[in-house]
Amino acid sequence: MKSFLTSRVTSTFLVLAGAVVLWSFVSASHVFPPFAVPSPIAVWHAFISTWTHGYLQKTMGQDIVASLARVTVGFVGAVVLGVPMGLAMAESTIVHRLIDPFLQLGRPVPPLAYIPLFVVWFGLGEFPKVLLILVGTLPVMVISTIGGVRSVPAQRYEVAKSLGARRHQLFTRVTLPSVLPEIFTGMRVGIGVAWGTLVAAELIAASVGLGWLVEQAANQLQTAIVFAAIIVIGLLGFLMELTIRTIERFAIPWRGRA
Amino acid sequence: MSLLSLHDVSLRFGNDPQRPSVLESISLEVGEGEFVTVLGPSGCGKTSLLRLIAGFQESTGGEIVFDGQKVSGPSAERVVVFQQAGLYPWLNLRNNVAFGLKLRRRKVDWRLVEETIDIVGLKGYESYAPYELSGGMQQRAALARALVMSPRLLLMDEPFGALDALTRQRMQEFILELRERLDLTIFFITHDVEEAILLGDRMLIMQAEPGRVTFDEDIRLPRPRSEATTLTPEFQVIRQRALQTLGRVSIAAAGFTDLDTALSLNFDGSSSAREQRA
Repeated sequence: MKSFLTSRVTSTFLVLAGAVVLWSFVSASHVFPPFAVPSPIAVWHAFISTWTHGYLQKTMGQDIVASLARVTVGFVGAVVLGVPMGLAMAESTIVHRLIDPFLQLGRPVPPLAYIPLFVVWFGLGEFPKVLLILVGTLPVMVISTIGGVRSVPAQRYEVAKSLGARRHQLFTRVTLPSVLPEIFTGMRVGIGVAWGTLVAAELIAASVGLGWLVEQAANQLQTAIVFAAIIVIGLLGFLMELTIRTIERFAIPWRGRA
Repeated sequence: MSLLSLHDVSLRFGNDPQRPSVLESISLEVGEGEFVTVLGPSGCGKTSLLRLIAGFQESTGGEIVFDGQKVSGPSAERVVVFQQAGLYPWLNLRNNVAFGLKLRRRKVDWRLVEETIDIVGLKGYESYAPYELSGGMQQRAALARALVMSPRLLLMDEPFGALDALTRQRMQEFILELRERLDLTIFFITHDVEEAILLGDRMLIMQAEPGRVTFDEDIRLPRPRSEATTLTPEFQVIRQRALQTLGRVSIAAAGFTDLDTALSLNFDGSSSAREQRA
């Protein structure tokens, strides 16, 4: 187990290091102009300078804090609303019939399409951005929760019924714990969706944030900063997924084993 | 008065009268303290019968009376032990065993829980998660979870069917021992001829299409029994009769009239007979 983990970390590191080396060669070969493919060193310098001096009066740290806050609030909101919604829809046909049409209609719409509306309704503040993330992530949470309830093995209910469980006890003592693994899967998918939505939101209406940074730097052909911001977004998304996975390991140690 | 009585119970799925019933006019009485084993080929409806008695399903005809009351749903007085232990993975052994007690409003009697865990031989494993236990231990835990409720009737649906041969033998010995120690009424379903004879005070054999009981006799082997009982001539005689009955059952199910052909069939997998018919 230990050697497996080590080797996986090693291989990930080697793949990334190889990519950086390849990238250096491509940028050094000048096949592409430097403003299209800046060198890794240029990107590193851009990162440091944005971190210490900032870009357009905002440091990288401020951008990170702003984006992290938006993602976290929107994502947590989606979980807090989506899980009970999914549970209610799975438990009650009436609730399902009421909500499902909106869910099915809303799901294929890219969250970006809501931006103009949200700007008209809620202005340019934080609320429309957070709401956009919430709206984008919500269906993932609802659908995975419903899927979790539907995939509870029938025998778990029969065991409980046979031991005298009432209807509400079936829900609290069998459904809720059984659905946890699917909720965590939904959260891991959802955090990716949340980041995607965030960057989209900040492209339109923001004055700070990683998405905003990408957009502003691109407009001024500061490609090195664009690269740096993209890498930071990737790392943050990965770290948040890792956090969820760690919580998952403690919350549902039986996953994959029962 | 018997603990459990079935009067002309039948079960059919759908409204197509062409399809044979799953169960047809089954009547039987089970007395307090009896150990009834039900033997039959797959598809004979034995599990359906158990599910009706458990109250998971309603019969489409006749009635089931338990302790003077018509069965209308599941109850902790008729606890089921399934083929798959079905322990809850988020609970450790102790809390799995206490699951049924926690459903009641009363305070959980933890001494009773500990005692029951001891009875099934799992003392020392109380804090283990289900997936840390072997298949046989999981099945013992499932049994403890049922026993702790002091059910009037224990319904066991091929409880050892998923275990390897050696573990199954150990579990059979264990059930025999348990029977000597505790006063239990058991309705035990199996497709294993030897298991049915070794464990039961009384054996029923079921026939398929439509499912009905074609054999119902007491097994007068002396107790206490053990694996060694299977080697006695008396045991072999009963086994032979059971196999013959099953042979006849297979003939009927497969449309055969030739007893030799039927007896050469694997009693459980009447599949070879079905293939020949097709």
